[in-house]
Amino acid sequence: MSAYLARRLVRSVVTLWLVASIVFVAFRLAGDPLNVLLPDSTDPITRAFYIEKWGFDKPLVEQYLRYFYNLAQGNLGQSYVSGRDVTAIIAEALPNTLLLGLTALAGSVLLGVGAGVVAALFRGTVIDRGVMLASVLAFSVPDYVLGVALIFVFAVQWMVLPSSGSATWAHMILPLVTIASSGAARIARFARSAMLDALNAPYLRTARAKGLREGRVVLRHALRNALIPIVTVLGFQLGFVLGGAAVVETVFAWPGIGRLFVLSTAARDLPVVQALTLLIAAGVIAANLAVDLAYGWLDPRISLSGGRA
Amino acid sequence: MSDTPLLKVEDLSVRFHTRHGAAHVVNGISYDVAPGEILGIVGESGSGKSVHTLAIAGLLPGPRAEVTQGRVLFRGQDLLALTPDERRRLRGREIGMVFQDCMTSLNPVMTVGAQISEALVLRMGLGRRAARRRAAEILDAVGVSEPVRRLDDYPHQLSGGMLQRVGIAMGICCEPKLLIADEPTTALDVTVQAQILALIYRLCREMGMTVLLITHDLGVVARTAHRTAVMYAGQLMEIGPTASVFTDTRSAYTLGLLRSQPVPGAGRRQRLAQLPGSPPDLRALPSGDPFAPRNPFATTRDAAERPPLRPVPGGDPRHFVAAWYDLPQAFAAQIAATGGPVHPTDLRQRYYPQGAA
Repeated sequence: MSAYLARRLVRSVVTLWLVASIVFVAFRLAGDPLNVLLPDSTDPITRAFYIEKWGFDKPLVEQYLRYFYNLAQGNLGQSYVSGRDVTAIIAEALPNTLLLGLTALAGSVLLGVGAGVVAALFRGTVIDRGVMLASVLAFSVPDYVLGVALIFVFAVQWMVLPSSGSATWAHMILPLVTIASSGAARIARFARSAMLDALNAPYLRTARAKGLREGRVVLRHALRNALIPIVTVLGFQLGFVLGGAAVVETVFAWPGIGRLFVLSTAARDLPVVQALTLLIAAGVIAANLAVDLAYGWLDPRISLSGGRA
Repeated sequence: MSDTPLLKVEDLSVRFHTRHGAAHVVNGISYDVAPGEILGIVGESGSGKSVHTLAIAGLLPGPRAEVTQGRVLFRGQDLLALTPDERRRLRGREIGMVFQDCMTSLNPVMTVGAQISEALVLRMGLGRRAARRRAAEILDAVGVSEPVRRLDDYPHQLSGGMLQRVGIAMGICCEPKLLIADEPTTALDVTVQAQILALIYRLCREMGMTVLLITHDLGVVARTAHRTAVMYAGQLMEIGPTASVFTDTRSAYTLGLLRSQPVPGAGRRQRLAQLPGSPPDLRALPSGDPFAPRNPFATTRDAAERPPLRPVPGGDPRHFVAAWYDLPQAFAAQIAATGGPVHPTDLRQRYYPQGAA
């Protein structure tokens, strides 16, 4: 188990290094950042000052090594735009994203798994079709459409909820609903099919033959088995959450990671974008690792030590 | 053994609603089983042998399966008249079940111990520790080695034979009066099969348990069952004491099954007889004997009118057959006509229609 974890961690570091390198190269391929950062009218002396300050006068290899040297020390650099420490900027945005994202994830898991289980139990009935129709709708309407529609109805027409910002808990409701609805829709479809598989499995008949109550048969025997495939989607959703829901955060002006990413990219704020890319990559890697660990915990047939299955 | 029956099935019929019409899976079968008796039920896939036991246990799959007529009297009480919850209470406690292929019929994410003690805690009201102790005792009784260690194993960690023993342990842990064993040995090696059958036989004797042993393997019933019932197309073709059914066979279908078994000592190259034709479409059953179209002995009456189960003429009084033809007589006539060789030592050979191979 610990050998497995160690292997996975080494691989994660390698992945992060690759991601950081690709970002490093990509941003230098995308044109001279100075042309965007500084106005065209900037005088050559100021320009030279910034070139030196940000290290663009050094050879590429040195820039690259310096970047990783700083990274290894936990120094993510300063924002080109505000001059503040990138760490501080991210530290401001991350809690907002985690609050919104994890709450949305919890909501979409409860709603999605619940709806999927109910649909499976009432397979082929009006209930099943209703749940599946709702899930198709929720899944296929893009976040920015749903977000704007919610703003229009609740903030503009009825004026019951704020449209943007993060001042009070009420500000969280609309972005939360927007993120959770598509997540719940996706999870509901997976949960339904996983549950149908489990409900038709021979071990379920065995459980009924013991004379167990239907509630226990469904929850303890069927759902427990159905959780294994459901966790796979949870991994995707978790990665999505840690990356910050860029579109939704932008629509609702929620000061989180996703919105920061969009703004920094537009401003060519290289240090911030690099740091965020690494953070999001790390989030996805961590989510995958969490899913794999959850498999091992949920399914005794999966052995994480790589030994006898 | 011949006191009042523990289970009495009366004219039971089950229908499956499919997209292509109603399939008549079980068609008016009646039999009874005495306390402590092992009734072997044989038939090919789709003969209704498993489905009718699911109907007895109240485990028919969902709304598409329906009992259309009949009664199932268990200790004098009609199971079909009970509420779903009353039937649930009988399952496990009074009626235990063992299923085919314990590789899939045990929950893969629960330990063996948890699956057995679950029934003991929830159905017998035992405490957790008492249930665990009892589970180990039952595993020991069904011949699982190191039972205490096995309790914490998951199904995938056990061999097929061990899993089947665990399955039996789960079926009998609440000491049911009736055990329905649905193909309990089909997925196993022959040597393990023999052990499992011996186990069922022993448990039946020690616990006074009544067993419905469902199988398509005639060898299994021959070794284990007191009486044998033969099903075809959802109907009972023949039922009687096992020895009588095997040696004084009266149904041409039973005979066909017997003929399709390899004969020990006949060598590798023996040609197994097979029944001509295929089973009827359960959605459009003929009005007469469903086996008549494949049966060289069928009379015109067999084709037109469904024969009831009647005591066999001149045989064991507990032996019944559903046939208008008389198999021994039909044989005698055929042998007289063809002058074919007769092997009185092998009754299967004697009854086999010459030239129909």
